Amino acid sequence: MNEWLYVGLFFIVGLIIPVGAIGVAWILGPKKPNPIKQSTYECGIEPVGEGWVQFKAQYYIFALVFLVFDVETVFLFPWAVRLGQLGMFAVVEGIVFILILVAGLVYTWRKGMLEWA
Amino acid sequence: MNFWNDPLKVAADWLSGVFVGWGMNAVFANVLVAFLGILMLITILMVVDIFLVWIERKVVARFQDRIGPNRLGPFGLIQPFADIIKLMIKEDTTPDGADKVVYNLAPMLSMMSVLILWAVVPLAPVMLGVDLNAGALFIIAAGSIGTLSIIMAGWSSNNKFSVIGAFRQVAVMVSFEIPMLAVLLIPTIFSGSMGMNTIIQSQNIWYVFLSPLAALIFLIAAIAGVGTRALRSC
Repeated sequence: MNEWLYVGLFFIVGLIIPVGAIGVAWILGPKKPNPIKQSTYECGIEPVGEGWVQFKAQYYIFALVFLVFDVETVFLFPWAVRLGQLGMFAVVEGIVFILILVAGLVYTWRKGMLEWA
Repeated sequence: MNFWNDPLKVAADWLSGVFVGWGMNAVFANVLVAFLGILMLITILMVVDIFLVWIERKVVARFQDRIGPNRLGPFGLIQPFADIIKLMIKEDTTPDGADKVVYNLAPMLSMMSVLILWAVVPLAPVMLGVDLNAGALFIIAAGSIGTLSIIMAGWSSNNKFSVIGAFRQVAVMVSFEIPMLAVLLIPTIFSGSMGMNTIIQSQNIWYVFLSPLAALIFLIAAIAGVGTRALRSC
């Protein structure tokens, strides 16, 4: 059988198990809703305003910096697989690739975007 | 095929033969056998997990100068089962202000991300779901769904505290994912493959001894990545 078909089947079973567990809880559990129980839960205190507040834009920049390095490592994996055969050339290429991305990180740092103020 | 070399393959072939004997399509029989195999693997994992939860509670309790669960059964071993039953018969509520679809989808995704990891983890050379040639990447990718589920759970419940908590936890998990990915490059370089089975087979000397620092970094990053109590953001 195709490998990725098997992974897809694993995804399906992996979803069936929690759906089944929540389904059983839904069948067995009591269902007595009332307005106070259904209100937004904030540790027993009456919620003031919406929970969907604006969050700091800096969080978004953190995510962008993370994404750069996440993608970088994904690109490094094929490089790592063939590193043994390619030798010194590939090592230099890898270092150059990482340095280009580090330049971006240094730029972000110098701009003061990594300070949480 | 010798039974003792690859018992699971023999059992699977026999079972699919039985299904075909019942007049089933051969492809469909194979899919059904794979489905049953996955279900068996996940069931074993969940039962092991029940006792791992017990171990975690016991160990954390010892850290905090308590004794942990000790009422039900010997050393409180039955306690997780009692907790499961309790959770099952409790009411399952969704707050009115919450985003209903995302709110209910988040715990399912969280669990799925953990379960699908095991598609590529070899328990023995012949005892594995599937030997993907991108196994290491698959594990990282599947684990990242957990991060997604945390932000979904925090955002959808329309609760300011849970939003802040989700942001903090996601920041922790995201920052530990980079070192985890980076040190996973080391076994990939050593073995020249991303497949989990190849990585394991090529360890004449354990990679733990070849690069102990990477192993330590991976261990810490993995503990932080699963969001266990040891490195939680609170």
